[in-house]
Amino acid sequence: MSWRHGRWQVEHALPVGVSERAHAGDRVRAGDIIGSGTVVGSVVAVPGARHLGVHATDLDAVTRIRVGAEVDKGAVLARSGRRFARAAVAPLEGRVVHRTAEGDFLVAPVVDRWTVRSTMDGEVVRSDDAAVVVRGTAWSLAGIAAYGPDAIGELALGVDAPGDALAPSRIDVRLRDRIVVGGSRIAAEAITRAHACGVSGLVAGAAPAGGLRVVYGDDVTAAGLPSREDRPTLLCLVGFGAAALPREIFLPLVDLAGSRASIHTATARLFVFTEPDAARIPAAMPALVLAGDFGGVRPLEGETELLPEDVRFPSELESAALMTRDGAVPLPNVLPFDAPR
Amino acid sequence: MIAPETFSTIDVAHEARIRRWSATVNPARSDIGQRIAVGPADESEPPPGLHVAGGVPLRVALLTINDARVEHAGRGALLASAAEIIVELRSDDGRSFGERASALRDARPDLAFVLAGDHNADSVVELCEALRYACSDVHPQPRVIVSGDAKSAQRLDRVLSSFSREIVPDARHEDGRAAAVDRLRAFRRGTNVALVLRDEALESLALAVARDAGVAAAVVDVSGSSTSLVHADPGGAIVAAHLVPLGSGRGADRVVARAGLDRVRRWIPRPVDAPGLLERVFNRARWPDAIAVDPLALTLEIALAHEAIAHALADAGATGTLPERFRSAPVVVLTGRLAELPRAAQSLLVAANALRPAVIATVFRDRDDALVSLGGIAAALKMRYGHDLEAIAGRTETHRALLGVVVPVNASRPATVRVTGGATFAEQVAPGGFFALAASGAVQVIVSGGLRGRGIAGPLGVLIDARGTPLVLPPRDAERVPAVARWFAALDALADAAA
Repeated sequence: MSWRHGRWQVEHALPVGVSERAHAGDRVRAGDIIGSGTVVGSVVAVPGARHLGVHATDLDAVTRIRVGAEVDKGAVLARSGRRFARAAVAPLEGRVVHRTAEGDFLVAPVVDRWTVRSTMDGEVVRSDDAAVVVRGTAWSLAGIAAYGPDAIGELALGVDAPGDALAPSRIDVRLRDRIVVGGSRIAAEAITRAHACGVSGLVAGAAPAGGLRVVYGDDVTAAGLPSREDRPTLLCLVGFGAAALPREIFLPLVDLAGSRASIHTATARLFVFTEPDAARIPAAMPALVLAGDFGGVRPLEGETELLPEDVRFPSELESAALMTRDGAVPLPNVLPFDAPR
Repeated sequence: MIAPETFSTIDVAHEARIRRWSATVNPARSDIGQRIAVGPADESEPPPGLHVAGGVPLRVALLTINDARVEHAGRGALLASAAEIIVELRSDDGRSFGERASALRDARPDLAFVLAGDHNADSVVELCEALRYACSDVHPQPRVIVSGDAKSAQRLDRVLSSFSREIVPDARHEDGRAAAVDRLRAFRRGTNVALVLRDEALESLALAVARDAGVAAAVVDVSGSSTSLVHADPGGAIVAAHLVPLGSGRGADRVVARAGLDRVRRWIPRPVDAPGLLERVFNRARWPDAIAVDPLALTLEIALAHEAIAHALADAGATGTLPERFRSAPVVVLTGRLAELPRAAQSLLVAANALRPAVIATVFRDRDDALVSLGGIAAALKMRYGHDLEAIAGRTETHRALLGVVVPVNASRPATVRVTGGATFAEQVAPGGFFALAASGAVQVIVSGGLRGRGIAGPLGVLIDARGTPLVLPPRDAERVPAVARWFAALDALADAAA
């Protein structure tokens, strides 16, 4: 999908262990905390229903602590009986993580805490322990893959032209908390330097796949790697290796520079929060062309002509082809910018 | 019952395009006719006829007790139903409750496959509690299939009560395995009644080829995001491994993530720098149905096919199905992107390198998805009428393209190979030998040491392969690249390699 201003619905997945979260109807801004919770250590099972002499389905009547609550050591989780009372007691300071189907309590120490921030200005339209969904209005541009945690910050240009690579020397601490727009390529050196300088996120036409492995590990794939860890955030808009941004994509980024923005890595999407008339969007978006050796992606420019017959390429594969100023290109290797990939 | 000839076309889906054949689908006599079109799949237009496709990707969380036989059986059912295991929890994996729950929440599975066995569901209760904690609130909720005896299923029923769940018999038994595969395929098919899953089509194809040939047949399929190995014997027994999402297109990056870049790179007959190769893999993975213009890109696809098949064999081995089962078929049919390589020799080379036939095997390949379409017709008829192959009897022989005969010579000393019939050859072959004999028609082959058999030599003749199994590639580029280039050159598999 190319640039569009409209209403978007963004789902923010929550890790397990939610303590608090925004509720449906709440108004939030990008960057606001919409969910927080804990990471717990090894759980300890506290005998519940059977110990208390009640059926698991009747445990609610004798339970004194809700699941999810933080408790001190010795806190009474549930209690039954009057004269000869029996109680389920927390064996440690921590959190009541879960109640099993058998009616036992699982209590675990808290070892870390997490927060999830909204990447959208708008209203919470769904909220449960698994996700908070925010609906709002923004400019949006979809990429093909995103890596790292969600990012929020002011959009800033890091290059002067869409075909430029983002040079590490252009990145310094003045770009802290910004989302920096690279051009055709952001190398691993630039990614790590940006992270060290506190840059919130990076957007570019492409990043070298080998560099992604250096930064994110060998498990990284072309599908992206959304995560919650403290890692650089990167949004690839077009491909891998080097991919000059079409002017029709780059110029609106110039127009929108200075506006608040966010990167939602699960959907590989950039949001920019500003007025609908803040950017001039060309009526037509260019097509993209995959290089014949798969080494890169470039915008299709100049006059083209569909060839009447299949063309035999150096690989000896035959295909319908489009004649471009750079020669014949297999038709399947030409796609609209917003084609599903 | 559908009326005869209800379906007049059959579409075979690729990554973003379809190939359409005219077809006559009739319980008495079915066939494909002309290839009508190749074009982009139109999501808005319902398919007018049969449709062969991969279906909805099924991402599965495997929850299993600590019993190797149960686990093998469960993995086998998942591999046979082309489901992808995205997270696996074992009752003895040592992970804490929180770690298990986090793994399940982060993975967001479509389905949880619980292997409860038949005697001790207690050990899997904790896993199911983690599933309940992690996924009860997830939208959409994962469905659950419990494989085990009635007592185990009952034990888990209360824990899993918040999920939509089904119970199938223990996957170690044939009925349990079949039931699990049926249910998993039903999930992938969704509500599209005209959809024939690609793996079903390939299984029907293998059976049809085996019956037409009168001997066991293997189908090797590499598509953009799946790799399949099917062995069928004329009696109807089928063993299948459908590995998703590894393939030579959309699944290219997954092949590299799993196998490692060096294992893919080793099959390329020229020096290639690793970072550049990785970029090509990533771009290919995000460009559906891309055409390799450059020979290097084509060799990358060939290399990916090698590794994808190797991993399908390895996964089949991990479920207890010995790779020799697939290697022992006297007839091998190549389909998918593997059959669409520009030179027939390239397809044969992948079969020789990656499958490593253990018997004298005649190798064929598909033509423009004709065989997959036939398999799709057979699978559709089986779904609707229960009998599958009578309607397409003999048709596979019409639509397949003959490549040649592969003669494996596994000996540590020189072995004598005699070929009679369509060629005359009687010489000693040294270990490491790899060459093609010009031949045509039926040939009889005898290899000293006991291996003998018949085959049909095609345009690529008879391929004598004395490199040994498993095929060992030199670790150093300086030795490996010339060796792989020699193998390509032996079959004239690449224009630049031949030069």
